[in-house]
Amino acid sequence: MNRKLLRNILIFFLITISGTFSYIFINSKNITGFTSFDQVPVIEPDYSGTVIPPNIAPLNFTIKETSRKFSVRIHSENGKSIHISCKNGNVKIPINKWKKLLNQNKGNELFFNIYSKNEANNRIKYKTFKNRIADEEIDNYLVYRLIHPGFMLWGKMGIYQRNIQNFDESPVMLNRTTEGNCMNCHSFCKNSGEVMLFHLRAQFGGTMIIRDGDIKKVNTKTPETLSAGVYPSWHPNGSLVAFSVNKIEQYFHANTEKRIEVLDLASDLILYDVGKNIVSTSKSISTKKSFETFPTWSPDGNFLYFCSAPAKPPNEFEQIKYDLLRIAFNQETHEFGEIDTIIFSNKTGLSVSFPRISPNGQYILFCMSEYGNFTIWHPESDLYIFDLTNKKLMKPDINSMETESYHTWSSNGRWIVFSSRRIDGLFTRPYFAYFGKNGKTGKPFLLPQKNPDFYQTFLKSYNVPELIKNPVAASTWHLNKIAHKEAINAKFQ
Amino acid sequence: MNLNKFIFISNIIISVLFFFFIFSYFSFVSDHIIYYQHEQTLFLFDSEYLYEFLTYPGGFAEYLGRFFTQFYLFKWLGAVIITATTIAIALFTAKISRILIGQEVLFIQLLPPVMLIVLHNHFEHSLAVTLGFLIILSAFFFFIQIRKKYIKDIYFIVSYLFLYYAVAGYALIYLISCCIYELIYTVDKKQCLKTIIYFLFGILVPFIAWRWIFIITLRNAYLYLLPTGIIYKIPFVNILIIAFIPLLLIIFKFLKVDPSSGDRPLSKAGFIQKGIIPLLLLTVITFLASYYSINKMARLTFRIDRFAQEEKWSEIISISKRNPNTSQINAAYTNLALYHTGILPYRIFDFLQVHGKYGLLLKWRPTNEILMPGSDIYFSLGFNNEAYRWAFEALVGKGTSHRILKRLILTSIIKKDYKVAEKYISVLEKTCFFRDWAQNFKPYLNNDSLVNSDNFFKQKTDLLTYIDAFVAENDDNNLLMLLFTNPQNKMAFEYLLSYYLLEKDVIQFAKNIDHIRNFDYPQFPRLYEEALLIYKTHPEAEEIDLGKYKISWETMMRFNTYAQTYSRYKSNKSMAAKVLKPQFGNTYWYYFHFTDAFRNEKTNNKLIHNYE
Repeated sequence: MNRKLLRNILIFFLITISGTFSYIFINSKNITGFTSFDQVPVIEPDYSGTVIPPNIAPLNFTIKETSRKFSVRIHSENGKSIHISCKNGNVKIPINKWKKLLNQNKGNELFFNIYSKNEANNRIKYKTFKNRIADEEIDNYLVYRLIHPGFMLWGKMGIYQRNIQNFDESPVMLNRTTEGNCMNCHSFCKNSGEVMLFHLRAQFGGTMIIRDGDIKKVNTKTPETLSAGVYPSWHPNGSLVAFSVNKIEQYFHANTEKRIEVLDLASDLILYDVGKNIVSTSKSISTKKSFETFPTWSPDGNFLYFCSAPAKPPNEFEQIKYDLLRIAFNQETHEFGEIDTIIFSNKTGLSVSFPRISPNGQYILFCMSEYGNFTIWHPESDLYIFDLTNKKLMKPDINSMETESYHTWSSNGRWIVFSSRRIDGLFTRPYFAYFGKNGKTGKPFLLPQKNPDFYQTFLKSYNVPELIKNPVAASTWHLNKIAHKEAINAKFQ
Repeated sequence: MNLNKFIFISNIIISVLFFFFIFSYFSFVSDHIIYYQHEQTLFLFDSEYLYEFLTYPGGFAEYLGRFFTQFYLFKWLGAVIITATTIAIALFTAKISRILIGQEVLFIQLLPPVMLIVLHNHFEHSLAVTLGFLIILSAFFFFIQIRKKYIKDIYFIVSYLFLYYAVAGYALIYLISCCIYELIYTVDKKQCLKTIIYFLFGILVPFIAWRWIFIITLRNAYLYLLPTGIIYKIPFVNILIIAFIPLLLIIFKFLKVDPSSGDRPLSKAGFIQKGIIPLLLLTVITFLASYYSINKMARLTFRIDRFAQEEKWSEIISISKRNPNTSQINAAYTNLALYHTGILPYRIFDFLQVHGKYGLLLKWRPTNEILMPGSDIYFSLGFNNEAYRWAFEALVGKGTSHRILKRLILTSIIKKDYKVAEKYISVLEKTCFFRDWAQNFKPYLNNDSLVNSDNFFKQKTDLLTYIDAFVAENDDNNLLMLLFTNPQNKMAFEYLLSYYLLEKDVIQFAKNIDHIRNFDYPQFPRLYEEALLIYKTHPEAEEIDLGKYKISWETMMRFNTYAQTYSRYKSNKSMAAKVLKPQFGNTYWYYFHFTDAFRNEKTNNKLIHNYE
């Protein structure tokens, strides 16, 4: 046997033995020889004390404590615990082990033990924090627009879908293929990626509609209506869309906590029949004396909820307060019936925007701010819940001192996602919260990212977060192809 | 020494001189390009930043271009980088010539660098475009060196795929060059079929990339990164660069140069024909290209911009005096410089004021060029929200730059928006050259007492308006708001009065002149005296008591002289202007009677920069 062979055998044995020891060490349940510290470590994003879906991507975080080295052990009742060591405090959880652990422990608690080692090699164990793994899954995809929280201009922009079981993000549509135009208001029917719409503005103007495996671009502006469709809501039957039509102006504050006011100068609601390409409206939802906006259908399709405020000029912007109303809808005749006011702004003193009904039809989730309806620029905007069964208005414990705005229910009604500017007051981030059967909510947690420091330097906002069960049923290429075609003009009836 | 050796040594000397010329040219003559390019881009050492460039063909070259552009912070280093790329291009051209015709031709190898002088002289020509050319040139050089057929095929496929991803449209130039080479330089007749396969493969790759892989337009799939979207000062040079390698191949083939001729001793006639004439030609072309490709207005504008960033106000005044021009941004910076040197109320009409109020406060337009200058002016005025807004709009419209981020950091700290400031600091910390600058401001975050005790921040905070109102479309209302909040805001006062002077609104001027009591001018500013004398001729004029400020006897006498001459030529306005200009050209009276600001929106938009 020559020396080279002997050396290779020796290396092989050394690797095998050290590998075995490492495996045993990593998988040992307990780390010993430490001093306990009765304080939960500061972590960013804050992923402690919350309820998480069993299908969420690893909640990577950064430990904001000073130390030379950190060790993290994540464990639950069943299955193998996960061990991570890091020097910079960036905890990146292995996705396969994480998925396995969560799947084996639905309904159980998930514990996070964090140890640190200082310069003198002393080990400290921080107080364990835990999260509860819910039984109910969240819809697999989150769709959002990434945009700078700008004032009037826009640059690179796109609508993206993120698989929230992992970190895969793919574009649905990017404006780099459409001469940098604006795109907005993506909307889905019953959390389905198969029925979707969004607007393209400027040169390629039109509403892109994906339905029944087909894509079309329509122009919903008619001579009889104020504008093309703006804020949309799909009727649960998937063949009708209620839109607001608005004339909007922007104003900039000289020096207050707020930066911008976006005000309606006029606003109505219209109904768009996707199959027949017909726009219609009714006197009850299109009045000159009121601004009607933010339509949203009840899950049974028998009511259209919307916000309405008495029309006022822009200089009285602080007096513009929206009520929450609903109007009966006959699905056979497409006729509207009686109007009913659900939330009176003169009682709450606040203005309602973005109503969204839970899939079981019991709750309305909406924003309330001091005035107006463009809540993203209102730091005082908070989320509220109205229980339609007992007519009780609740303020869930998910709000912050900064803006809470756009929100969506998951298809099973157990999760909500909402926009919040709580981190820095400017850049909007998507937060998830568990919604219990009793209407109680879990502590909100931020959309996890592969790089836990991602949000620290990301200068775009997550706009209009929408949860969908399956990915958007159209490729970017197909959407792009249709986007470059002329829009089909809708007819008014 | 024989002629060949002499030519060899001369070539080396000529090359060294030539590249020294390029270096000096970009260091001292066209240094504004280096300044502008650096101002427009920001390179971050960050994986997310890199990822963005990897999502489309050509992104790799752009990333590389941005990496090198960050060193443009030092203009000499910028000049070194541009010179180095041109040297590399010349070297590869020389090597390709050696392979194709057995000798290096100085004239030909220095031709691409001359063309690159023209391209780089356009302020929008990015380094990535030049790097793209360099990359395909090097790839082609390696291609023609390979002799074994199957290795060549493999090399072609692999290099083409890589090149397409790295330099997008340039890969097609590589494809065409390889095909031409295979067709006309290879004796094997079977090459024809192979070339067709090469070509079809090459044409298909961008299509596949467009259809199935990347989210790009069809045009960008084929042409991205090629210098096609910019109108260069000297036309067709961009086309020449694109077509350079294919043309070289064709010319070399049809010139039928004897490969051994390079080693033979040269005759005197040959020396003149191959040495002197090309050298003279090259010298002439280089000087003509350098001279005619420079955009003098861009040079002036970027120099003024740089002086404004460096707060060299006197330099701006002297450069504007020497080069009167109609650029709106230059006018705005000149007026800002006049304020900072304390001579705005005395000498504003020494300078061209054809933009009226827009030469003072730039009108908001969704135009990238105007946004940061606008932010600069509002920042000086103490209108913090507007300074932030214009800077943020610049970030949205143009992309991130160190200048924008610095402004966003400062305005956010002034507003005590510490979390937002921290975010911008975090971004700037990922740069190589602005990390320290950003970190200097970290102690201010969440530390009100430090901010309040810092002279710079205290001065800016004192100017903040506390009035909760919308930013007015009429700028005088904004200036009035600033002045109302802080009557000591001298810039707001001088800008307000200058605004009315430029708008020829002597009624509003007279209404607001009494704010002057809050300031201690050594004497009543001449232009204010002149405006008040015009106001006094107004039928509704009222007596204004300005305390210690009185119109001087001398100004009244001058006004009498002006009025007499004006009355004499009243029926002939152009004659009056001609006669009055030498003595009264810099007075408010002359501006009032004879200068018409551009009122046409189209003209105004065109003259934001007026580069052409």
